[in-house]
Amino acid sequence: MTIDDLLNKPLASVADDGFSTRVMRRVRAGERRNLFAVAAAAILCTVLALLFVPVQSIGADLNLALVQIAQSAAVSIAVAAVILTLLFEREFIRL
Amino acid sequence: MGESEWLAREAAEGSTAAFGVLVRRHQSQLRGFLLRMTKGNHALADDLAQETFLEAFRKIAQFGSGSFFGWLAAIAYSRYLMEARKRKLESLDDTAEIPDDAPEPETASLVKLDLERAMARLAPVQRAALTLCFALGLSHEEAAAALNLPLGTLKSHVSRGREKLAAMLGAWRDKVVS
Repeated sequence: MTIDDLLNKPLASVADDGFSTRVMRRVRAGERRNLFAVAAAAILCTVLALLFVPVQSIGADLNLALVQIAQSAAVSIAVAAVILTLLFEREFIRL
Repeated sequence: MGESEWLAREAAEGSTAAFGVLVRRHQSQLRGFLLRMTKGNHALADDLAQETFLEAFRKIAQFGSGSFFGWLAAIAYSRYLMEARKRKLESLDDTAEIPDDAPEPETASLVKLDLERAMARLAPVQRAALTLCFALGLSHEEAAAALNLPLGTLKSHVSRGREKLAAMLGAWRDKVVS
């Protein structure tokens, strides 16, 4: 037996004995921590945005836009077209 | 694409199950490698192996191609070096002296044990180079990348390590090895 034969012997196998489970538990805990941090940051940003965004004036603008959309002939035609298409499709399937 | 490489890509896309398969697949080799690096300190080897896998998961997107185990070994070796410096485990230079008290086993059954003892007396970089290139079957290129060494330096560590081992084991080699 030469030095190379000795060195080439594979390392003794190490039994898992729950090692992989422990690693994966820590991996998942880290993932949960990251998820929690992202969710907390998102909530914080939303709250800050709501504090600084002029909600009332946006609400008024939104109301105005909705009224204009409701009064628009083009939108009315489009809605009517969608409804007619759906009705036609239903009848077509029944036949 | 190898299976480990495919699993690493899955893990990079967020599959912890794929990473779990990689952990189960490579834990024995990695812990064996670290056990040899820490000279048989099971607790330290397992701590380092856990930290290695956690770091690997964080950086899994950085794994490109090639030997996944080589990539893991690179993380493990760098963690080992940090820990060794912190704990002052041993001199990290590669000029470790060959001790005079070479082991003299009476039977071949002690050969493996004496290899470990002799390995423990080598400089860490030589121990790592020999283990990766021989016992773990990495190519010289993969081992050089894992240890962050130029190819020529790696080959010289392998060669010097072998010579030192031969000198250390020489005392009994004539008795046991024909």
